[in-house]
Amino acid sequence: MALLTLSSPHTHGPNRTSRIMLTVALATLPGLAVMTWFFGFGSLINTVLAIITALASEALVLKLRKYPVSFFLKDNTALVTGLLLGLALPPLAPWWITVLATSFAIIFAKQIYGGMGNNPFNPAMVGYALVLISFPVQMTTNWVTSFQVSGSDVAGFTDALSIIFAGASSTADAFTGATPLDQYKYLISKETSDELLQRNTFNGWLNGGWEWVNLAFLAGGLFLMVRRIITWHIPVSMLAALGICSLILGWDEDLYTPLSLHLLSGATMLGAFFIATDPVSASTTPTGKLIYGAGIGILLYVIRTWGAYPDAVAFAVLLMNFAAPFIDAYTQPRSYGHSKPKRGLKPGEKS
Amino acid sequence: MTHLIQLHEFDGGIHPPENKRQSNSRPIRKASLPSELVLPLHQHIGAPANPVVAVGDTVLKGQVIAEPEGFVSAPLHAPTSGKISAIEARQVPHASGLSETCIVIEPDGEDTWIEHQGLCDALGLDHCDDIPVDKLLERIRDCGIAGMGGAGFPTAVKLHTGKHKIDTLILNGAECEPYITADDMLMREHASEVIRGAQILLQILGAERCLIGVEDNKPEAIAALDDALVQHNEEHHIDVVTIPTKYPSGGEKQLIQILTGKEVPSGGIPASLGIVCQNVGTAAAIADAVDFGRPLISRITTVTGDAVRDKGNWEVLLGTPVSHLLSLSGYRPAKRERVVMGGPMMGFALPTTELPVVKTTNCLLAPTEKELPTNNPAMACIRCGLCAEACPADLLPQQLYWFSKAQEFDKAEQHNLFDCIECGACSYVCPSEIPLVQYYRFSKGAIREERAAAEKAEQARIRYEARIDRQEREKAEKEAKRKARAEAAAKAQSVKKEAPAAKAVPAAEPAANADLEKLQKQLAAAQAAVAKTKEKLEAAREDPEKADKIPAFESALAKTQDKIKTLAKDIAAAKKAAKSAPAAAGPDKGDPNSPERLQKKWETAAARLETARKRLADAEVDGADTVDALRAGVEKQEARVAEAKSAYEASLNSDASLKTAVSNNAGTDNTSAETVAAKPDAEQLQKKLLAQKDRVEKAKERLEMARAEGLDSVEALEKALNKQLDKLAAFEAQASTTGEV
Ligand code: SF4
Ligand code: SF4
Repeated sequence: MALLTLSSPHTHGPNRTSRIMLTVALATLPGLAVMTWFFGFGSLINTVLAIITALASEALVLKLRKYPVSFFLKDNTALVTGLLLGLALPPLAPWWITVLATSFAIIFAKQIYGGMGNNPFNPAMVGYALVLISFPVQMTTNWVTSFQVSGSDVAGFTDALSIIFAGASSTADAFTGATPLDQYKYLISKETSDELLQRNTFNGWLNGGWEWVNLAFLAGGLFLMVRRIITWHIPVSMLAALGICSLILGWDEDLYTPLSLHLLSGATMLGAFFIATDPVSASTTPTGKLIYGAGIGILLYVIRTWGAYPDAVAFAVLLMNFAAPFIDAYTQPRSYGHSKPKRGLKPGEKS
Repeated sequence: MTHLIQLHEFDGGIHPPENKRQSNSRPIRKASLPSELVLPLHQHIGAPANPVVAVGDTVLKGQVIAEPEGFVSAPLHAPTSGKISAIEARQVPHASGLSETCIVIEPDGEDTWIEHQGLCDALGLDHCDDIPVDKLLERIRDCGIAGMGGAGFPTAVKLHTGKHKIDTLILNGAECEPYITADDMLMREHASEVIRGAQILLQILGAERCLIGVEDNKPEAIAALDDALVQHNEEHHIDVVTIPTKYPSGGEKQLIQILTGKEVPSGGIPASLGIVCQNVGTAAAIADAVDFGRPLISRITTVTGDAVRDKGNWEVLLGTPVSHLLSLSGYRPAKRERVVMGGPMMGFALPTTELPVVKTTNCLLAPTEKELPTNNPAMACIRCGLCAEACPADLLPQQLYWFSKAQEFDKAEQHNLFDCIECGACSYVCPSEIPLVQYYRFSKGAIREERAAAEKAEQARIRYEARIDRQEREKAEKEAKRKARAEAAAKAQSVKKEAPAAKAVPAAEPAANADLEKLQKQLAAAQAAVAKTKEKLEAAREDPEKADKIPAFESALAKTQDKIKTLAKDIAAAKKAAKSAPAAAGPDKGDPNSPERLQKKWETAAARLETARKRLADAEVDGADTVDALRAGVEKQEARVAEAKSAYEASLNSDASLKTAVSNNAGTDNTSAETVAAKPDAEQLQKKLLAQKDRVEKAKERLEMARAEGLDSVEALEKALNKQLDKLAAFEAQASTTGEV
C-alpha cells in the first residue's frame, strides 16, 4: 500500500497570497471612491484600464515563458500593480499613458526580472517614473480641480471617457491643472500662504478634496494593519521622517510647503500604506523597514522641496528599493541563542 | 504550586487548531497483542544495539534481546514472551525510508514476565532514598530508557552532564503539537509516576528544583500533577508550571526560554545553563525502571485523524505494527491516503503502514484530505515577512529560502540556518504555501556535504605534501640504485645466465586475486558502515535536539566515505593487475624472452611497485586499516621487480650489442612509462568530469523548472541533483589526486 509521503509540516494556516493581494486591492476602494466623488470618473476609468492592461501583459508574458497562465494570474499581484498605477496616475491622463506605464511595469519591471517576487523595484513605480520622465506635460497637467469646488457639472462619465480616449482637450482645459503640491511650490514665491490657500485648488482647509482622498487611503492602510497584512514600521517611519523634515526645514509656510500639505496631498498616504509597503521590493527585517521607510520620507521631502518634480513618491521608493537588500543584510535580528545579531552577508565568526 | 514562576515569552510562534479533543476524551486503552512484534535495533540516537538472541530462541517479557554498543546506545527488551522468529532487515519508521536490522518476535500469548524487581530491593537497601547515583544511572541504561519526546537520545547519556553543575530540571509536558495527546493522557493517568521520575532525576542531577511545563490547554493533567505533588510531599522542589498554549512551546529551547528566560547558546547544550530537559513520558518510564525494574517495552501512542473512527490513546507494546494499531482504531483509508508518525507540524509521513511502533512514536495521525488538505503548488515568495514573524528562533525564513533556492549556502549559514529547529511555523503561515522547511533541510544537507568535502580536501593536501616529500626521497634513492646497478652490470658482463623470467608473471595472478578479494571485503564492510552512519545522521537531523551530534556523525561519515573511495581505487587497480597478469603470461608475439619484452615487464612491474607504494603511503597517512595488506602487496611487488630486473639484465648480458647504453637509459624510461600510464587516466577522468558537470547543470535546470511550476517532483529532483553533485565531487576529488601524480 503506497501512502502519500510529503515533507512536514502537513498542515497549513489560512494565509493565501491571492487573498492577501485581494485584501490590499479592497483596501484601496475607499480612496478610489473618494477620488471619483471629488475628481470625476477619470481615475476609475484609468484604474480599470490599468488593471486590464496589467492582466493582459502578465498573461502574455506568462504564455511566452510557457508558464501556467491562470495559476499565476490568480495570485492577484498583477491586479494590484495595475490598480496602484491607475490610482497614482493623473485622473485625466490620456489612455496611452496608462497603457504604456502599466505594460512597462509588468513586462519590464516585473517579468523580465523573473516574475513575481523577483523584481528588485516596485513595478508600479517603475512604470510611473517612465511616463513621468517621458511625458512630463501630460503627467503634470492632467490633474483635476475638485468638481465639488468648481461647481462644474462636466464631471460626467462620457466626458471623462472622451478626454482620456479622444484627447478632447477643449473640454478638459476647463478643469484640469497642476496638483496642489505643484501649485504651492511655484506660487509661494509670489503669494503668501493665505492668498494661495484661497485658490480653487486649495479652497481653504480640508476643502480641496485631495485631503479626503489621502484620509481615505490612510483608513484603508489602517485596515491592512489591523488585518496584519502590513506592519506599522514602513508607514510610520516614512510619515514621521517626512513630518520631521517638514517641521525642521520648512516651518515657514510662506516659504515652504506646510506639513499638512505634505501629509495630506499628492500620493503621500497611497505611497506610505500601499506603495512603500510592497513587500517584494521593500526591506523585510523590522529594523530594516524602519530605515527603509525613513529613507523614503526624507527623499520625498528633499525631492518635493528642491527637486524638479512636484511629487516624488515614485523616485523616493525606487531609490530606496536599491538600498533594500543592503539594509536587510545589515539589520538581521538577533537569532535565538546568539549574543548579538549577524551583520552583512559574509560568513563571519560565530556570534 | 508553591513558587511563583516568572514566565517569559518566546518570539514568534503560531496557534494552529489544536484538534486534541478528538483523542483525549477517553482513557488510555491497552492495545492487543499483534501476531508479530518488530523491534529495530536502532530506536535511539547513537550506535544500534547488538542482538544477543538467535532465531528460534524463546524469550520472556522484559528479557534483554540486544545489548548496547558503545556509550551512546541503548539495549532492547522483549515486549512480550514468545519466540524469536527472525533477525533481519525490515523497513523502519524513518524519514529516509531505510531498512535496518530488526528482531522479530512471535508472541506466545502468555505475556510471561522475566523476573524483575525494584532497584531498592535488588540492592537490599533499607532506605530507598539513598540509592547511589551510579546505580540509578546503570538501571536507567539497562532498562533501555531513551527520550520519548524527541529523537530518542539515550537518557542515561543525557544525564551525564560532565563538568556542568545542574540546578534546574525541566520536565516537558507542553505537548504543543496539534492532535497529539499522549503526554496529556499520561500525565492524567500516571501523574504519580511522573513525579516519582522527577524525584529520581533530581537525585541523579543533584538539582535543586524541577519545573514541569504544561500548556494551559491541559487543565486535567495539571490538576492530576498537582495532586500527585501533594501525595509525594514534593511541593518544595517540584513546580507544575502552566504555560500559555502556543506552538512550539514544547521545543526544548523554547520551553527553557519560557520557564527560565535563558537561551541555549547556539550550538550549545542546555546543561551549559545548568538545565536538563526531559520529557514527562521519559520521567514516568524512569520511575517504572527504578521502582519496579520494568524496562521500556511499551509506550502511549495517540491514534487520531478523521480517517480513523475510534480516536484515542493506546498503551502499545514497542514493535507493534502501525497497521495493527490502525485497525484497532477502525482505520478507513481515505483518498490521498496519508499516515503521519508524530504530529502535523513536525511528524513524517510513513511510506507504508507495515512499520513498527518505536520508542519515540507518540502519535499516528491519519487525516483525510478535507481535514488537512495537501498543499497547493507553491507560489512565488512575496517577501511578506509573515514567516519571520512566526519564527521562534528569530531567523529570517524568507532570506534563508532565497539563499537556499539560489544555492548560496554560505549566505544561508551566515543567516543562522543551523539555528532553525525545523518547527514548520514559517511554512504554516506562508501565504504562498512554499515548503520552506523542505528547502532548509536541503540546504543543511548540502552544507554538511560541503563541509565534509572541505575536510577531505584538507586531507588530500596533507597527503599531497607527504607524497612530494616521498618522491624527492625516492628520486635520490633511485639515482643511487641506478649507479650501483650500472656498476653491477659492468661486473656481471662476463657471467652469462638464463633466468626463469616468465615464471614471475603467472605467480602474480593468484596473488592479485587474493588481494582483490580482501579489498572487496573491506569495501563491503566500509559501505555497510556508511549506510549505518547515514541513518544515524538522518535520525540526528530529524531531531533538533540532537543537532549537536550531527557534526560528529558527519565527520565519521566523511572518513568512511573517503576510505571507500580509496578502496574502490585499490580494487580497480587490483582488478587491472589481475587482468593484465594472465594477459602478460599468455602467448605473445615475438620472443617472450627478448630483452625488449623483459625490459617492458620490468618497467611495468616497477611502475606497479610505485603505485603500490603510493597507495601504502596514502593509507598510512589516513591511518586506514588496509595498511598491512598494502604493505604485504608492496613487498611482493618488490620481489617481482627484482625478479624481472634480473631476468632483463641476464638477457641483456647475453645480447652484447645492447650493453650498458640501455641500462643507463632504464632509469629515465622508467619514469616516462609512469607518466604515460597516468595520462590516459587523467584524460578519461577529465572527460568524465566534464560530462558530470553537464549532468549537474541539466539536473539543476530541471529542478528550477519544476520549482517554478510548483510541480510535485521537486523533492525527487532535488534528491537527483544531490546525487549528481555527489558524483561530481567524487570525480573532482579523483581528478585532483590524479592530477598531482
Ligand atoms: S511567508 Fe512565504 S511569501 Fe511571505 S516572506 Fe515568508 S516565504 Fe515569502
Ligand atoms: S522551521 Fe526554522 S525557519 Fe521556520 S519557523 Fe521554524 S525555526 Fe524558524
